[in-house]
Amino acid sequence: MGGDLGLLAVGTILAGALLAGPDIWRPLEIVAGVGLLVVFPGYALVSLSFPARPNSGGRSQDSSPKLTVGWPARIGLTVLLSGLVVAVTALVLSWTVGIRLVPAVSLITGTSLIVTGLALVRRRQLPPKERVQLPPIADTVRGIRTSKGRPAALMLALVVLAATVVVVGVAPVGGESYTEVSLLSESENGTLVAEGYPETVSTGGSIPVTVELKNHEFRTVEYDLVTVAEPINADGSVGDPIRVDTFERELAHGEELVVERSASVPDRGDQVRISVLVFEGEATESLADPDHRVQFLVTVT
Amino acid sequence: MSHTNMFGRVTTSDPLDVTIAKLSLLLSVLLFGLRFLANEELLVIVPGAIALASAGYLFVGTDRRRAFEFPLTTGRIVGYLPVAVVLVLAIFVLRTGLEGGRAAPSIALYAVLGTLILVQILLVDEDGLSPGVILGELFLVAVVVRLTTLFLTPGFIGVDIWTHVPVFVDGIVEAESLSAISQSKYSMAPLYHAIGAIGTLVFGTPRAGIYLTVGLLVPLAGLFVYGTAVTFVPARWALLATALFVLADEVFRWGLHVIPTSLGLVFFLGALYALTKLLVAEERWALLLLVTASLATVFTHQVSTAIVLVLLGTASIVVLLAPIFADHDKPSRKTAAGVVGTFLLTLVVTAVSWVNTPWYGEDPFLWEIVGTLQTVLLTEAGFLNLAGSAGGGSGAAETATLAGQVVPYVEWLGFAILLAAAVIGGLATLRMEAPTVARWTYVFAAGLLFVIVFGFSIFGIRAILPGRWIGFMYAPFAILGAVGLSYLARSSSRRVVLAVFLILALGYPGTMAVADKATLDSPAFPEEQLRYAYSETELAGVETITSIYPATAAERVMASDHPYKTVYGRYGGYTGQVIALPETGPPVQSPVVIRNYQTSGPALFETAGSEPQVISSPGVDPARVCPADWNHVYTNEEVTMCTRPTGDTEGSE
Repeated sequence: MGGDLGLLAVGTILAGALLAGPDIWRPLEIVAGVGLLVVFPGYALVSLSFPARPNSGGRSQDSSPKLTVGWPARIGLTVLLSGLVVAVTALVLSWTVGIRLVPAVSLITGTSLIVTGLALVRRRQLPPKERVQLPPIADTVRGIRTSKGRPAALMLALVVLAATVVVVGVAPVGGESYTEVSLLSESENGTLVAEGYPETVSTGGSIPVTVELKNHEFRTVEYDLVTVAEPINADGSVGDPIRVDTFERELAHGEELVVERSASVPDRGDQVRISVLVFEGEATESLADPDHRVQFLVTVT
Repeated sequence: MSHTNMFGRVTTSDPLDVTIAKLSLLLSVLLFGLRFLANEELLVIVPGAIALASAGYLFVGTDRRRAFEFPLTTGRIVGYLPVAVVLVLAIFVLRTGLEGGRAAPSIALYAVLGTLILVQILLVDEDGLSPGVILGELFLVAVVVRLTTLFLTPGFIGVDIWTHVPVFVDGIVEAESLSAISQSKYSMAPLYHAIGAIGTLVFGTPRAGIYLTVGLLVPLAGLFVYGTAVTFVPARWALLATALFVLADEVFRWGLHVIPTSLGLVFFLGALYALTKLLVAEERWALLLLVTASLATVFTHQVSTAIVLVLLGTASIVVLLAPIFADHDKPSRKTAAGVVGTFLLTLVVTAVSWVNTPWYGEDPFLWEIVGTLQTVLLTEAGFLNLAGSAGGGSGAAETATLAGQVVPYVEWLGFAILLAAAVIGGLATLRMEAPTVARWTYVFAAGLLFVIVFGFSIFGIRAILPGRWIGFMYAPFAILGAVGLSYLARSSSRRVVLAVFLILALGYPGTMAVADKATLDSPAFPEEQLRYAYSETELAGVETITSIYPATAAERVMASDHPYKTVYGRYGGYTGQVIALPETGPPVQSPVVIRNYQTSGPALFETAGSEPQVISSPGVDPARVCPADWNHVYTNEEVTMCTRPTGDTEGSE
């Protein structure tokens, strides 16, 4: 009779209490949150609006038209109206105390409970046989078993699906492995940014080279970093690299590091490309095929 | 039932449906002629589908009320079909989880799931048909496939969502107020962002906040299609309408790219359901629901509002004209007043809302959109001005490869099947035993939406974003399609019906599953279709670049390919630009961000100049976009940021 509304009230109170309280286990938070935001308020409103059972005839005992819709539409209306209740809650809070967690959960919970109570009163005004109620699970299973399906196999398949969803949902995600390399310089306010690199350097002088490394490789990596100076020839081609600095750093997964070095620029032409070659592991002798490369150009004066 | 009405009298010698079928056939042949004037696959698909449907309807002839013998009888195999659906769904989840997002096998599994469901609807006999179980399967698949895809794809899928969620929704949560969107066009349409803000508070992140609220509403709202269709046809065909809708590419699209349009679709389906209940059963509660859903749409999304207004306007005209053409089943005055009143109320609220909605210019949204439409109609519209068509197709630059020419036809095949079914259904509706106003509302609304989506596009009128209307249009199309196929089952030979049903069950889910709008996250044809989602490495590039090169002002340019540049524009706060390449030499902008995808996928660059042309990125040497004599200031395995070495690093444009 009112079993579904009783469950609704209990579910609403539990969800409200769990969500408004301290942090809870994530899967429980998702179940409670989806219940409170997508199901409960709308179901309460649908129960209030349509107290009569679907397909139970056109009129009630007092000959007044009965309000009834089929279960698919009831579910559709449940999610639509839940969305509206949540949206209106946000509007009300925005105009009053601000959109915050506890007021939001409290307002949705309170609204759902009040509407559930009203729905119960309205449903009880109908003759018992005409009141809406959830289709008994046993009847549904019996119906499937008699002619239309394999309930045991279906149940087993649903368990397999649920288990798969849980495993995929909670399994640690491997993710993509990559290393980030940034070439930085210090800005006027002291922060490190990817602009404002030295544009000129005097012959034989040195310039600062600041590199940031971030390891997302899911393993500890020993990085070899080699700074080279490459003269830019008059025709725009790049000359042979000259090794001007070498250093190495070991980073665990998730670690990041800013390395500030300086590089002496050899007297080779008007323009020089300063490149930092990053090797994941030992640098090759020829410096060919670095895993990463960042670079900037300076004019030698 | 309406053989004595005005149309019946006019067409006594030739029934109205037959006359319209003949006219449709003629029109489709004429339309096909346009194919020789413009190279557009839709000019083959649309006339072909209409011609096939019209000719088929004429060939089939009258409704003989013949009971079609569904070939699969209750037995071992039929009983295990729901089990197979659930197990294949489990494999889908596992496979997608192992891949870290959808890939070709997951898309194929999704197509298989659609086929298994359609087989049950179309081929299982009455004893074996269990509407509740099939509906359960359909929505289990719809919800699980969408949420699995959403949560296993890094970041967000699509373009606009990068503004709606990390900027607007997160902004509301930080400000604890909707004032965070007061300067946007959503100041008067905040329902999506309001739900997202509460979801963010409950689930901890804006991403989960949207996905577990609006992301759930979108697939479940498909239940309204069943509730609506079952008003016209028996449960089997209502199931078919629901499956046609839920499996459609443009509907799947709004379950992946979860933005205000998605919520607008939810409210539109509620409005369609309520309108149908009002017109068919004259149920009073439906009027309240109609008003609620219509106004909720106004306060959610502008394009969705326009679509609801088209629906309500069509229904209003039909009920107002009903006394002329409906003899026996005119709607009651209360119903007519309810429909027209809802239309007028929605229209007025829309106008008031849009007058108070800020837009990019100085004038409010209403005047700006009117001005834009005026400009388009007076200066830009032209016959067969087809560049950037209605919303289908692969979306990439034109390609001369064989695959590039074939893929659009594969993508549109599902649409062609749906269109053909809807045309047959529209014709059959004219004979159907249902209230005249409901039947004509569906025929006119579907026709009008079709003209707006595709007819306007022929004239280059795309300011109304016709691509966004397609998913909404599919709702009446799916219902009419189910009417058409139920008519076919009663009227044709068993062999013809079986052939049609097999084509539908095998062809529809697969072609809809591989269409570009259904694979925004992971294109089925990666060399032809754009990927609108990003790898973790690409997103790490965005995060780091925005921190080491902060967008201190909106004028700060960041150029990359389309669509990657949209993330920098919307999420990073830059003026995101497509890399513009002169005839020779490096890009005109600096900085630029290149990524490996530009060499493997059909990302887009453009030519520099006043009339930029789209360039497909694989044809461009990366060394030209990020030259060796530029500063390379950031790199990871997939992304590199480059700046021009001399002068300032602000964009030159």
